[in-house]
Amino acid sequence: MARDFLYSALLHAGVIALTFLASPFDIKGRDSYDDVIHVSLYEAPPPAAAPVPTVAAPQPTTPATPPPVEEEEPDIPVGEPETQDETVIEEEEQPPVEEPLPAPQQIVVQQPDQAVTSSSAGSDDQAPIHSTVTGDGAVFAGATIDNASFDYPYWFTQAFNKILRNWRNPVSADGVIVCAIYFQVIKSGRVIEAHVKTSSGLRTFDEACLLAVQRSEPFPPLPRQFADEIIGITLPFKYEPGR
Amino acid sequence: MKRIPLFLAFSLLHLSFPCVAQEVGVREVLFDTLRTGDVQPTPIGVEQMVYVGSEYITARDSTLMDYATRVVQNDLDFYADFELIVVDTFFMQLYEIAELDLFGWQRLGADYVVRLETEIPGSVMRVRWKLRDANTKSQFAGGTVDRPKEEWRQLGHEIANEIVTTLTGDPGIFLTKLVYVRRIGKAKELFLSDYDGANERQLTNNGSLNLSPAFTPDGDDVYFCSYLEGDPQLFKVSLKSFRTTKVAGFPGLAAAPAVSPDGNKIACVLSKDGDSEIYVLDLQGNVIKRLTRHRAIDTSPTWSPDSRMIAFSSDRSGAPQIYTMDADGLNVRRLTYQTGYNDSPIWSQRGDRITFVSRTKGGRFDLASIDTSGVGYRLLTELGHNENPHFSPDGKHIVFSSTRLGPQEIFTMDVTGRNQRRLTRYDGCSNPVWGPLPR
Repeated sequence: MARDFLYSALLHAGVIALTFLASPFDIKGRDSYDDVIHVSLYEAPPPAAAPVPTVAAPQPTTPATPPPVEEEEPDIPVGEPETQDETVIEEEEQPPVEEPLPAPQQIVVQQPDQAVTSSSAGSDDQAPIHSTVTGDGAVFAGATIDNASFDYPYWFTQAFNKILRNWRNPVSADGVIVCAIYFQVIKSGRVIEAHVKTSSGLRTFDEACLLAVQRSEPFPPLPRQFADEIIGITLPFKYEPGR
Repeated sequence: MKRIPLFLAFSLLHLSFPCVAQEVGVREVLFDTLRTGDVQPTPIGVEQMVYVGSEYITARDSTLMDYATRVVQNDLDFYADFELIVVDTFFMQLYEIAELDLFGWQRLGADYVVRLETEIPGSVMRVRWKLRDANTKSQFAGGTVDRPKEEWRQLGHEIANEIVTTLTGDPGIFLTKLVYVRRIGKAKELFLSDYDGANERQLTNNGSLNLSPAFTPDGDDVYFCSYLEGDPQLFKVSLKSFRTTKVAGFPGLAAAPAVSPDGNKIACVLSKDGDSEIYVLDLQGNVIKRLTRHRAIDTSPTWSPDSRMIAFSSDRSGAPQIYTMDADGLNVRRLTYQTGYNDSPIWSQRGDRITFVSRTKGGRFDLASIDTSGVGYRLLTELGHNENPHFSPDGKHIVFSSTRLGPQEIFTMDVTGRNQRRLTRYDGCSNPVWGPLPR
């Protein structure tokens, strides 16, 4: 009987040692994890200066005066990654990026002092959107619009809240992920164009963001007072862990 | 000799444990459905309607103005995306609001304020509505609605519809209709009402049991099942002429009709071949195809918004559960595994969720919803028996029957389960269905 226990203990110890040290019996194999994407985060995201509100909806009791955004930002070289404050997401295989301009490594965490800066902003004349859902710490912080004369905060609040209701976040990550969607809306509120402008490097996340915009159609019709027929919006979707 | 297989079995048991995941920074999750509930309703205020005409008005006109204002307020309060700010003298004093201007509304928490100005030339009520932003103090939308004075209720609904469309882009549902079953003595008759329970009108009066109403997509007819001739058979009633006609008669029962969203077919339960199975009929009541073939009971068909799929309930697993299949009867797939009893499915107009009746703790019936992929089961009610769910045409609200207050009455709520309110004041109300948007 005692010998049986000895044999059993020896065999168990051997199997455990094999499992953890040599891993020769990795039955599933790494490549068979279809639902896991292997990425490594080189650096933790910088801590936010202010506590991040959990609800991006407008607060009724506080006046909607988003903090003034600095228009001129000559000190920040757009397109050049800053090595200190960045979270770089790398993958074994880079997914195709819609626009060749920014590489996925250049998608950066939204800095508290550069709310309107995204890696793609600045390439054309885009104006920042002032709304309660695009202020600092909000999910859509840093959204920009092609036409600076479109100044209807209510429209952005309603449209972005609608997108937020339709956004089903498909990933859970340890770091910040940002994907920018560009879409165009015509007078009636219909979307005539929507594509991923800056990929997050994660295809499922990009697709979910694009789907959120497409599912939100129709948007509120553009105000009658607005002369143009079309507006184009660049909307960064920001995922932060723990939100 | 017996020990060796035993040792091998133990060894394999160890090996079957998953290896420790390493350096995984991003994981896919099935559905972050809670995020959809993150967005709070937009606070909105509605000012009392003011008269801007030059002539004197009667006391009755003044009352109608109050009524119409209340309709707009109720509509916007009902709508899932908005929350009505109630003017409360307590808060007015607390916040030291002397005058209810845009600053005052902002202090009360409103984002937008509706101003209603009316003129009453002759028998017509003309209302100009203005939508103003309390934060920027600017007017950004407006319009005019004309209606005869006696249609003050429709006038209010029309204004609320335009406000909803301006702010959300979605069509307003305030001019839609409900049809439901109400017990009258021993009979059960169909009744028609506005979406908020007003303007009730009896549709059938045959002293029999009339059940399972189903609107056609154009809103002109309501198909239903009646015991008028003994066995339950299919009938329809026109909402224009209010005339009832028989659609089809089969041996055994013909029940639970559901008209497809494209308006060409009726899915319905027939027992002419033995047990109850789901068939597809044309609008004249001729069988096009039999969809289910199973010894179990298959019932409660409901169409997907694109008319390509049908969800139904079946007890083929031993207890009623929700299944989906293609519109031709293929690809049957079980959708629900939660609790031992799930019945009466209804497919959301938005296409993403299916709501159904689920038996929960203590044998109560509650409404639950699940994603069409089979994940995201969520309970929506928690008091009394709640049954017969049906979606509003914009997919944002659900009408259902509940016994939470004792008698069985009709209630509505948002798809998230919030904002539950009672519509009827009679016992024995059931089977509510929500009509389509008026053309």
